[in-house]
Amino acid sequence: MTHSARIPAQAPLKAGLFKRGTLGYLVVLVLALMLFLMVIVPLLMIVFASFTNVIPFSGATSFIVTLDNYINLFRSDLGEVISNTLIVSLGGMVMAVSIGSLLAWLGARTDIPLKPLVHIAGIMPLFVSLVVASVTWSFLGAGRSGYLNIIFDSLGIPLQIELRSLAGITFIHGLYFVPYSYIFVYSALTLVNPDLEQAASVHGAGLRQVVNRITFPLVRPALLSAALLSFVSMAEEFPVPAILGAPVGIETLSIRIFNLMTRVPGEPNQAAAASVLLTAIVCFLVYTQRRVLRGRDYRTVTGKGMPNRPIRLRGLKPFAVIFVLLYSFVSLGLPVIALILGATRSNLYVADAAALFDVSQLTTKFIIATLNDPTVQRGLLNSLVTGLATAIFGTAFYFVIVYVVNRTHLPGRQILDYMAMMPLGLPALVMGLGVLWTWLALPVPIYGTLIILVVAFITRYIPQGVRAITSSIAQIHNDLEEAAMISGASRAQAVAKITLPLMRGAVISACFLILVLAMRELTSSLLLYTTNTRVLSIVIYEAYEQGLWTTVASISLIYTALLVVVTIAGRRWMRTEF
Amino acid sequence: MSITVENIYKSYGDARAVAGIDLVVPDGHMVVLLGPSGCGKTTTMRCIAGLETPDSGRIMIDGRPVFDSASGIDVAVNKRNVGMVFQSYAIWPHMTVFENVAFPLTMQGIGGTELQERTFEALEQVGLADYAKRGSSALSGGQMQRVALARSLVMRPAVLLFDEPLSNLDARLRDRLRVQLRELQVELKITGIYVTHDQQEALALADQIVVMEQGKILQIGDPVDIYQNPKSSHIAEFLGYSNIFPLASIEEADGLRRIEIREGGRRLVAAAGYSVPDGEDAAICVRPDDISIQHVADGSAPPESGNTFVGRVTLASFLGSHMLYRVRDDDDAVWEVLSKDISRDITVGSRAALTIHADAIKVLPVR
Repeated sequence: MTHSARIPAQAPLKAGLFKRGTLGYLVVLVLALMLFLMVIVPLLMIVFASFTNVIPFSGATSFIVTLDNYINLFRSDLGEVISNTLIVSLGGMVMAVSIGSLLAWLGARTDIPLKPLVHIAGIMPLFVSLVVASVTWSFLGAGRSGYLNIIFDSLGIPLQIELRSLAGITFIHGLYFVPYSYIFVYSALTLVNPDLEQAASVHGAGLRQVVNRITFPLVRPALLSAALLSFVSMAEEFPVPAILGAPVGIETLSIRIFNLMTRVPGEPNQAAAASVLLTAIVCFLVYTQRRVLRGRDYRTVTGKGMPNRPIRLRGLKPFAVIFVLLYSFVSLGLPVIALILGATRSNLYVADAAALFDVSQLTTKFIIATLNDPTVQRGLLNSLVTGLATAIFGTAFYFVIVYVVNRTHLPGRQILDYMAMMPLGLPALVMGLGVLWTWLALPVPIYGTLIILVVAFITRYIPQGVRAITSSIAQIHNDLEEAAMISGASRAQAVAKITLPLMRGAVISACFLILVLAMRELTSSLLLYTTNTRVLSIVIYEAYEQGLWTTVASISLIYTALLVVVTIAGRRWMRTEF
Repeated sequence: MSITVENIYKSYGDARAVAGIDLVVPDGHMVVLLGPSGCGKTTTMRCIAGLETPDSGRIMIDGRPVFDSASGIDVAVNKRNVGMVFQSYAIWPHMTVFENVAFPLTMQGIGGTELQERTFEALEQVGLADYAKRGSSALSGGQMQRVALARSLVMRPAVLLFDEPLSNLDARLRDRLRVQLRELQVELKITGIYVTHDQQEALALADQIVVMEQGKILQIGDPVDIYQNPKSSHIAEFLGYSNIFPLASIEEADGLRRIEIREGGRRLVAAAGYSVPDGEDAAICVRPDDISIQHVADGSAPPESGNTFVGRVTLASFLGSHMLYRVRDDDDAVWEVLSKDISRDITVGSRAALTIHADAIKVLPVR
């Protein structure tokens, strides 16, 4: 081979305007500005409002700095509100982590039959809208007319359950926050080499000792992570206490914020103070989680595939199967039955269990009427549009952030990383409030359009999206991209031809995840929607507020069907990475 | 095609990775950067490739500056016309073998028959022409290695860089590919820089070896020279001199040196060599294959005299062509011996006499 080399013709690039990296700095600057506008400014608005007597940029010409908002907040029955918040979050956390980690262990490590069902049971509740779940459970167990209570009554069982209570809210939390624990612990377990457990068996440990001394300590960081994340999510969560607690006067912190905002006359400054309080609690917990977990990742990732040698359950197998079936039935089966009954019964009054299942009472006329309702149609369309826009623009935005943070040496990329994780500490309702005030203040007229919802949703899911994409970019060796650049590709070409094609699966999976999360989102849109921009979750919530039971059930059924369709469509892309 | 590196510095935060490297690679030569991990060899190479930007210094490829901190020149990595074989091979799993190798040509805007011909030419050079249509993720390590090489050859680079390309292969394959690589490099007159921490690889592949540590060059020379005349015991240790003992004293006498080992105080005679400046620590360095070993029957008189002494065998490991022994002498020093004579008498626990020729004992400064 003759080295009649093609020496690139161009002269060496001179310093100055075209110095290598100028474009990079620009990208970092733009990203930082966007994150600043999306995350920091809303937070500043709230902090400002909490210490003054005016709403920022609302046209007020003067303001006074004051602590009155906090003083008034603490003068009210705040103690009870905080203790309510702690009860429903702590109780829910214990229940969700127990169920979730047990399911994860059964699915990842044992020879339990019906493994796909274990996986579905562990993950599906994530795609159930909490609005629908709460509404459905209020059909099932609210007062004497709850379906379950009717059945108990007819069967002569002296048991009445009341979901509209602290215990009820805790129960719903514990039931539907299981996926966090399942996903964290499951992925930790699949990354722990079974050899470690087998070595313990070889050295004389029985099943219990293996689990207690080896498996459990190895997945403890994941468990802790899941526990704190579920706790935080439940503490800031709105729909469950709003639907099950508010009608009987139970308030959590997020309900209090909402009430302060929406009652007449409103107390937006006191709401801001409560928001700061809630944000402080959430931030403290997220910070604690990161502290606790620092340097405690025991996952032993090897290039070789893990041998699949499940632990034999032997006599415990039937109990394990019953546990999985019971959880699936209670979390998914019962609500679907209740929704179908609620949407198709022509008569609201149910005398006894026999009447409940009386087929002659069933009709599809409500569902058809609901489908023809322009409000519902509008909501459906709005949900789809905002969901898709959030998924597409959000994923592109997250990808650029992840790429800059992980694959460049640009200065300021760590700051981007910090800002990207900040929404974890921002309760959804607080963020909605901040976004509202930010965009009312800015001379960009997006309030009243779907765009403001998309902005809020994209902001809310930055941490989830960034994490999902980060974990997959970490699996693609940097050499692959550098080899392309060595071969003559520019960075943009290397990303387009190598990195993106290799990450296609992960990016599409992140896209679907964001789509589903955005479509089931209620809380951050509560303070942002207007008459023409109601999404489906808002439509359900409003109908529930007005006591339109059949409508609520019908829309919920349609909404659930939609989420199921999207989930199934995205199933082959959906990965269990968060 | 030549490479000139002048006074390159590169730090990561407080850690100085490269501290003033000067290097010239003449046309058609292969220079091996040898050193322990973290010595700056990979960073130096990545600076030449353009994957890292040095803090200061100058790099010229074929007389053309591609980096010069003084005049602000920094040619982008994709414009430098260098090829590189990565330690991880970096074979793109979503492309076929052909697509992988053709990629650099596509980037140069070459297509049609020229693309076909040149890609197949490169694949034939590495013996993989039959694999063109294969997906690349199913290849073995050795095959990936050769695809990576073909991908670099196809672009006819001014210089080819090798980043420990054989380190992920098993020993037999590594030996074979090492020979093939040297053949190809000489035949195609490739100008190359090869990074490794394996002294055998360095000796086998290099026209010139550059021994590095802590971002600095310790010694430059051709392989034979480096192997026979390391400049310090530290370098000797790296080149496989496994018997290294610090000295207590050196006496010059009649063109010979009388030396005393610090631990145990054994006295030996060594040939003259490097002069060790007064006050500097010195050590003797002996290659394991330069020591001869003989069985000593229990009870028989020990033949101790001059450079012959007795010890007890603590390890006898059969390596096929050689026998590896460890012998603990009466001063508790442990000597490693590689012997071609495979004696069944010398077993663990038996006594053996070691003899070292005065010429085989190198007295070197520690640093």
